[in-house]
Order: sequence, then structure tokens, then C-alpha cells
Amino acid sequence: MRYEVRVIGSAGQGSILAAVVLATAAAEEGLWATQTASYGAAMRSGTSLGDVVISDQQIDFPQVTELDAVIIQSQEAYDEMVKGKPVRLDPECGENTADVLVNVKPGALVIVDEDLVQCDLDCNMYRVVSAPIARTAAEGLGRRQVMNIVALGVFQVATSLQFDGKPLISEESFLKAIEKSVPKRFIDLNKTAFQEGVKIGKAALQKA
Amino acid sequence: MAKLELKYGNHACAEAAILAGCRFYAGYPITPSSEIAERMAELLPRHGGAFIQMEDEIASMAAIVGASFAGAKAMTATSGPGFSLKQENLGYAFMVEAPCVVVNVQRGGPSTGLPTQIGQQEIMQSLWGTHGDKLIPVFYPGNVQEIMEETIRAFNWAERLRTPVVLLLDEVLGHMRETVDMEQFTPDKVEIWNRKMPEVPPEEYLPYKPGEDDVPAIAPYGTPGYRGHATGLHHDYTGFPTTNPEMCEELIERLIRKVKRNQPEMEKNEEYKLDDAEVAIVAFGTTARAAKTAVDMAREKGIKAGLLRVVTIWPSPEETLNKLAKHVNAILVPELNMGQYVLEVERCAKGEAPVYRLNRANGKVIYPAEILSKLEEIVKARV
Repeated sequence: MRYEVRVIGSAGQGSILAAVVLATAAAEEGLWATQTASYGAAMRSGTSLGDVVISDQQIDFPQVTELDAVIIQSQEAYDEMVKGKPVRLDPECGENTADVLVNVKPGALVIVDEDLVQCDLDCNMYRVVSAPIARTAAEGLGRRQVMNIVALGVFQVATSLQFDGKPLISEESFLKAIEKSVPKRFIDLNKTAFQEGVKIGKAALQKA
Repeated sequence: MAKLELKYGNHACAEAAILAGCRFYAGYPITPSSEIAERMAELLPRHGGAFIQMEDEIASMAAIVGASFAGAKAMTATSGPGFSLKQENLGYAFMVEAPCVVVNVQRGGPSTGLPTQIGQQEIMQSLWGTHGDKLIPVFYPGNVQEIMEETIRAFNWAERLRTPVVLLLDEVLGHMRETVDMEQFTPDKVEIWNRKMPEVPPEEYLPYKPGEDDVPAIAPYGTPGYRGHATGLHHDYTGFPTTNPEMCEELIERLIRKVKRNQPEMEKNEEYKLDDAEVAIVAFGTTARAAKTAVDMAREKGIKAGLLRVVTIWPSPEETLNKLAKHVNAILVPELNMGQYVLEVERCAKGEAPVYRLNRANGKVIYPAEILSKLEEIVKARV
């Protein structure tokens, strides 16, 4: 089993942190994982991405090439990396090398923020799960910054679509991963954010 | 039962150094190696060690030689331009036999090059960068777990042979987080070697008189009664300069021999699907990981490919490479430079099999699909 995830978003939305928490959760689950990012964090402007490869054995090639899931946090990131070209997600690669670099597999999970991202992906080709991620973070929790962790909650639930009704990684592993990955004073907030994500994820799956 | 923990590559290097007994770090920050220094600055004071940020890379290298002579296991880490600056004192460490570990997290070169992107352009420099003849062990791990293993192994060989050891990483390895099975790194499971100490009384002590293993037992400076002298000049057993041709010859031959004679024990490779392979890939570091995936892709297409991943880059696995060349129809050496280790593979292959290249030095990794196309090209050309 090799499972590849890319989290994309605008600067400051915590795409890389989401990738780190996801990889840590995989480790908690007893799975092997690699987490890579293009170096240099985009903190104030531009788009950023965080990649994770998860496997039940030690991983050979550590970077993503065939995505099983994409988490899309902003319109800007969607427009730059996905729109009109759902087979290519690497902003750095040219058209001629696109095929050998990053593709989104048919059947891949696509998690989008329903308020922030106008997504025109073919729902017959991808499993598009749309949920009010940023709204939940801002209104439900009072902290828009934790939308990346809310998104992980949605992702956790939605992977059950790909693994016969059972999520790839348990909620417990994610909660442990959050404890290990965020500053102490934000642990409770992030745990709640994850649990809220799970809730809206379940609701979104029922709707779909 | 595996005990998996997600670790950042550069942090893994620092943590393994502490496990290996490193208690002194001097360095000057440079991307993509700075996180090693950051972690060492955090860890060393907690373990009774010392961390110092020096004024530059030259001074950092000098400082770890000094610390080593005072008896500490010492390390520095850098990247491309900093590695160039360290070269003179790296040669000095080799000449005065100061055990130490120099980490080079490779980025794109030459010069300041591509600071934030991957390269594998110091394969030759790590052995030949400093002037004069020498042979130093150079290790190049392929994943974060192995960064820990190889860091410990680098310290062990440095201590056992009283030599500098270069540990090569690359930007992707250093900046990647990956699961590590921590089971094998519990203190009771980690094998640690320490340098030998003189067994003679002070009046009989000659710091540079080698033992049967070609390694001298040099007392840490400050050991009462054991007086030492170190110089980069050719020296006799006392450590004082000499131009006596016999002594000079004995010294240079011994310095190289003490490493060379241990090559078989030091050799470390990973062999993957080589048994029935018709085309072999020789690779290391991040590129070897793409190569391994490419081997599987090629097998699915009916191409009998295999991989020899070299971990001990220098001294090179001469005999293994020669045997490999006799065993296969062609060898491919993909590397993130304009063709460096391929020269060594060609030398060792001695014409037994044609050696092909796949080179890139633009800061991007080589993808598995690209290695696969090259393999297909080679197979087509040879039918």
C-alpha cells in the first residue's frame, strides 16, 4: 500500500503543519511515512504545499508522484495548481514533464472548503468532499488559524470512502499527533478543531 | 515490533550524534544544514557538552580538531560553500589524525549555487577536496533511519581509526520528515566504539607511534605526563616535523593504509533484485530511492533491473562493483551532478559492462519515471 496526499493552500494557512500532523498520525498508527515540502515557508504571500507519503512498509521514493488525496484550502491555490488541469499539481514543472511528475489519480479524494473554493472538478472522476472548513474554524472555534486541522478531521473521515468504510488512520492517532506537533497552549484548541472537522466530515459524507 | 517515530532528517543526524557520544559541536549556519546546528545547540548543554557558533566555517573545522585533541567526540555540519572552506583543516585533521565527523548536506553548486535545492555534487570533493593524497571514509545514508545509523557509524570509524569521516546528506534527506524505527536506537542496542588510549607509561609515550592496526594511541591533551605535539608538517613518532624521506613515506603510506585495510569491514551496500538482473543501477542518497522505485516499475515491464545502493561511498566497493559489471549487461549511474561517481564505477567495471549516465544538476530530483525511460533506452540499444 502506498498512499499519497498533498495539502495546498495560501501562505499562512498551515498546509505544511497539516502535512506534518498527518505524517505524525500515520506513525502513531504504525504506518511508515515521509513528509516533504518545497523549501522555504510562504508565511505572508503566495501559495504553499505539504506532501505526505504513507505506506505499510518502508518507503522508497519519498516524494509524491500519484496523488490519492488532495486537500485544497484556498481558491488561489486551486487556481494555480489544479484548475482546468486536474492532472497536474506541481506549479514548478513544465507541461512536457507534467506526466512523469505529479498526477491526481482517478478516484482520488479531493477535500475542499465549500465557502472558499469554487471547485469544478469532475465528480465522476474524483471523490470530491466539500465542507465548511474555514467557517467551522472561525465561527465555531473562534480561530480561523486552525482550519488546517479542521480539514484534517474531514480528511480522516473521508478516507473511509477509499478503504471499505474504515478510515486510513484512526481519530486517536490524529489526536496523539496533534499533542506532539503543536505548542502546548494550543493542543486543546487543535484537538477540538480536529473533532469538529470529523463532525462536519461525517455530515458532508451523508449529504453526498 | 517497530516503534515508529516521525523525525526531521537534520534533527535525526544531531540526535544520533549525541547517541554516538558527540559532546562538542562548532559550526557556522548554512542552508540546508542549519537545523543540525540548531538541534545540537539545544541538545549538547543538556548532555554536558558544548556548542559554539564560530565566526566562519574555517574556524569551525579548526575548533572541532582542537576539541577532538582534548578528548571530545566532535562534529561540524555544513553545505557546499562551507564544505569548500573546511577543506584545508579537513586535510589537517587527516594529517594529525584527529577523529571528527564533518557533515555536508549537499545543495546545488558550484559556488553559492542553489542554496535551497538538492545536489549530489560533492561526491569527488569529499575525498579529493583538500590537497595532498589521502583516503577518508565517506558515508551517504539513504533515508532518515539510515541518517541515524550512519551518523553513529561515522563517529565509530572516526574514533577507531583516528581519522576525519565525512557524512554526506542531501537537501531532500536533511529537510524531510520520515518515520524511524526507534527500537534499534535504545542505548543498550547502539554499539559505540571509542578511540584507544596509550598503554605505556608517560616516559615511553610516542604520540604518533602506530599500533599493529596502523593507528597511534594519542593521549588527550592535558593528560598529566603525556606530552604531545601535532603538526600538519610531515612528522615522526614524536609528532615533531621531519623531512626524513623514510619517515615521510612511512607516514603517508600508513595514513592511507589504515583506512584502506578496513575497506571490507567498512563496505556497506544495499542490493535490490540483483540476483537475476540484466541491467544494474548504481546510486546513492535520495537518487537511490527513485532508482529503487524505478527497478520495480521496470520489472513490471519485463526489464530485469536491479539496484546496488552504495552507502560507503569511499573507500569505494571496488570488488563488488567489478563483480557486478561481470554479472550484468549494462550499468546505469543516475546522480544529481554532471557525472562524478560514474567515473569510479567505470574504473571498477574495467570494461566488463558498458556504464551509462543519467545526470542532472538543476536543483530538481531525478524521478523514478525518468530512470525507467533511461533503462528502456539502454535495453533497446543493447538488443
